[in-house]
Amino acid sequence: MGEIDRETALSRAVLHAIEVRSKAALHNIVNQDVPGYKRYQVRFEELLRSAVATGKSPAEVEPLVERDTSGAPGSNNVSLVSEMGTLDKMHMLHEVFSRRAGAYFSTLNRAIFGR
Amino acid sequence: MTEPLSGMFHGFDIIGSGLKAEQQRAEVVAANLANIASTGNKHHEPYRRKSVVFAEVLDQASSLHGIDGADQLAGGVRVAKVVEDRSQFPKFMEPGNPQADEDGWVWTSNVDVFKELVDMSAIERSHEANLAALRVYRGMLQATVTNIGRS
Repeated sequence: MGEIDRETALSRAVLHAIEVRSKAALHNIVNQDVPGYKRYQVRFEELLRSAVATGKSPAEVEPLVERDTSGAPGSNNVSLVSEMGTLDKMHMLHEVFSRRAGAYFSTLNRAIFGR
Repeated sequence: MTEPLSGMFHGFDIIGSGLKAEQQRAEVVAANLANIASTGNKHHEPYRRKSVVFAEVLDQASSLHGIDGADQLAGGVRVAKVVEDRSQFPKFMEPGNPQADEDGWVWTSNVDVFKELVDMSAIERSHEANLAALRVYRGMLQATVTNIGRS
């Protein structure tokens, strides 16, 4: 990834994490009937927080996908309600950050082209 | 470039695999119900109830870092196998039946109509969940186009 400004880097990192977490939720939902399946979860917020606290660029933060091995061994630990909730939450967050990125790009456009 | 989990439309493939798997499961239930009246005897077995086993699909080809994480999570779900119900066939005595064996026993299929109906409800619910997830994901892509694409 080339040099990008901080605002774009933040939008890119967050939108990427939203996409990864949404797909993990989709994957969990379609695997709700698989015997013994363990759900995926995605860690991002705390990674972003610690990266920003140590002065790193948000562009360097990658969402971390990991297995949630909770529940009895051999049992499927997908909760459909919580996966749909995650998906809806990602939908709203995506709305916020895509608007934020869009507004920022509009501002750049105006600055460059004067319209 | 096929970076795992980065394809914009990949979410549709995941949901598509779920819808397809649930449909195959529904077809097996339909086959069970259609053959519920099948009869036989000890020489010639009647229809055996079938059920599907689902398995997770992981993209092994693109495991860049070799960890159990993002690089493998790409797949969805598939029907791993169709298994037969090995439980016993119900039998009844009806010597006049053309299917009866020499002692007069007739076997019927081991399909239980109530079990199949419950399965059908579960399939319907899973199918609805997949479709609901599809709508949300589609809304996200739509928002990308309208919010960023038009700026």
